[in-house]
Amino acid sequence: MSCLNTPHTRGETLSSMVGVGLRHPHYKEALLGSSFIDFVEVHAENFFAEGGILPAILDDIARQYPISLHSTSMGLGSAVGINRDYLLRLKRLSQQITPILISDHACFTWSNLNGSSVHAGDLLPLEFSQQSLQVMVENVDKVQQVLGRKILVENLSSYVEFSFSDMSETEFLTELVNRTGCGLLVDLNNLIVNAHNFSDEGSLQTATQWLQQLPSRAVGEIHLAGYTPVSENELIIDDHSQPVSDECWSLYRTALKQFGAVTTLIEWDNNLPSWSVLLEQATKARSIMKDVTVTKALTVMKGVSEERVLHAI
Amino acid sequence: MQSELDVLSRRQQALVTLIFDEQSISESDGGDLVSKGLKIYQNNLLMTAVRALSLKYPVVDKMIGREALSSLTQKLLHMELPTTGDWADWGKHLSSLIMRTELHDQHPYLAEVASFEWFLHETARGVGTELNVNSLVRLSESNLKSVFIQLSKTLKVLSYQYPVDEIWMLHQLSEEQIDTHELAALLKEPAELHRIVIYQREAVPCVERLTEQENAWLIDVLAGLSLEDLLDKYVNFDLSDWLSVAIEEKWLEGLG
Repeated sequence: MSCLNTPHTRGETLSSMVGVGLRHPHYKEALLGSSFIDFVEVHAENFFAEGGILPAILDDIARQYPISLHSTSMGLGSAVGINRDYLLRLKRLSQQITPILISDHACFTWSNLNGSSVHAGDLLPLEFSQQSLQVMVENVDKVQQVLGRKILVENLSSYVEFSFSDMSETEFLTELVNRTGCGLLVDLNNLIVNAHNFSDEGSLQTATQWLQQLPSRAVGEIHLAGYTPVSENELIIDDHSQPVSDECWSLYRTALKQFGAVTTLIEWDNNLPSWSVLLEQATKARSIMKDVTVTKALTVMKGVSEERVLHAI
Repeated sequence: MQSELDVLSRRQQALVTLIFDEQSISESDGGDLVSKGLKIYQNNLLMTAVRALSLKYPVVDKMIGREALSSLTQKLLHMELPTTGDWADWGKHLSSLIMRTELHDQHPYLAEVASFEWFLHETARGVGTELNVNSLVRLSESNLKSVFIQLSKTLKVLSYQYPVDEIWMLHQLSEEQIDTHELAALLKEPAELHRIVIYQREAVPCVERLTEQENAWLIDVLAGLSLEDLLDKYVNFDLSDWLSVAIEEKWLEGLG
């Protein structure tokens, strides 16, 4: 497994990994048991402390599992730029554990309020405009240079839409990939939440169309999650507090058919289940990945042999 | 003329301003999609901030309850903006905020408990230091005027009206296990100052009570008095006893 900790050797080797988000209440079980998972994802900011017990805990985790470092505060789309101290803390962490993946969101977080600098504390939505794209490109470039490696950028669930957008989200992300060489982390639950909240068409249909517009080669990870159901006319909140929804499993099959096997993470942040339930969700993801990729391979083989037969005739 | 970047920056700022201003959405316009969306961001902000405070101030949380903590959080978000991208860094001013609220009149010990919890939190995340054993040879120098005691960066010397360390310890028990008579005794009108030192040992925060003299000694050490000046000022102070405690408890970084 050690080679997986080398950022430059990832790619195909990572493609069929299935992991879970590791949150504080599960540290002990994750470290004690030999869990049947390929990697864990930790939130970068939870380990920003330079002293105390956290660095040692993270070292223990890193000895047992490959780690995906997922940050939630980088604010890659912030027009005021990214806080330098934040980036240096992320870099120190990245050097400490050499994560298999580093990711954050297509959002903004840094801004000004009443003349003072502020971190908004949430993943705030971007307008999909040329200027916003330019800001994202410059910030992603800067982050990749500071960290010395490629990052993955995740699509967001948002609760407001901007009239200033002059391109689609997928055009925005595709252009970002083309201009920075970053990868994409596709959060399928976020797609479903957005579709429920803002699309007039069926959520699965909308999400599937969204996926079809992405450059498949750029997709480096998939997030699976669930959300708390709400009554009609209310906006769904992406709270990561439930098992992966049936819709999300269904969309996962669609995504795997399109992208092939992709590193997959079960993301569950609130109302945490037992560690074993989390692992069961990972097992289900692995099973679906195996099922879809084997079926896809057999279909290709069948196609090839039929072609050969036809050619021979 | 504004550049396109300025325009984008101002639009992002406008959204942040709306989210931080809980008055920005009135009850009457809460029904449309934009207001609903903004309300979600406002709730997210408050919930995240409350959670961040409850992790740093578990005893304050336990003493006043989640509703009161939520109300304090809302006020604190205006007094102390989050600025680093790590919620663990936010919330330092809760103690001074409490002192300006009615809670302080009802619970005069609460601000001190909050102050104590913040220092515990800071100490828990600080970088502990190893003793520079070789530096101890400086004790044998003839001119102690140029020898200075260097303490761990995580060490803090504090004085409180209330026995905050005991109040804190008592609240580590479950609600049913807390002896209400014992708690009432701890919270009664303070009669004497409680001097404590908070420091990190084996990567976890520790607390010790100090005598008046130990407290004064540590304050002077932190103020940068030379070893000679310290020994002149504290004629009856047992340096060798103190040094063995300071080494054992990881207070001492070395001699400079």
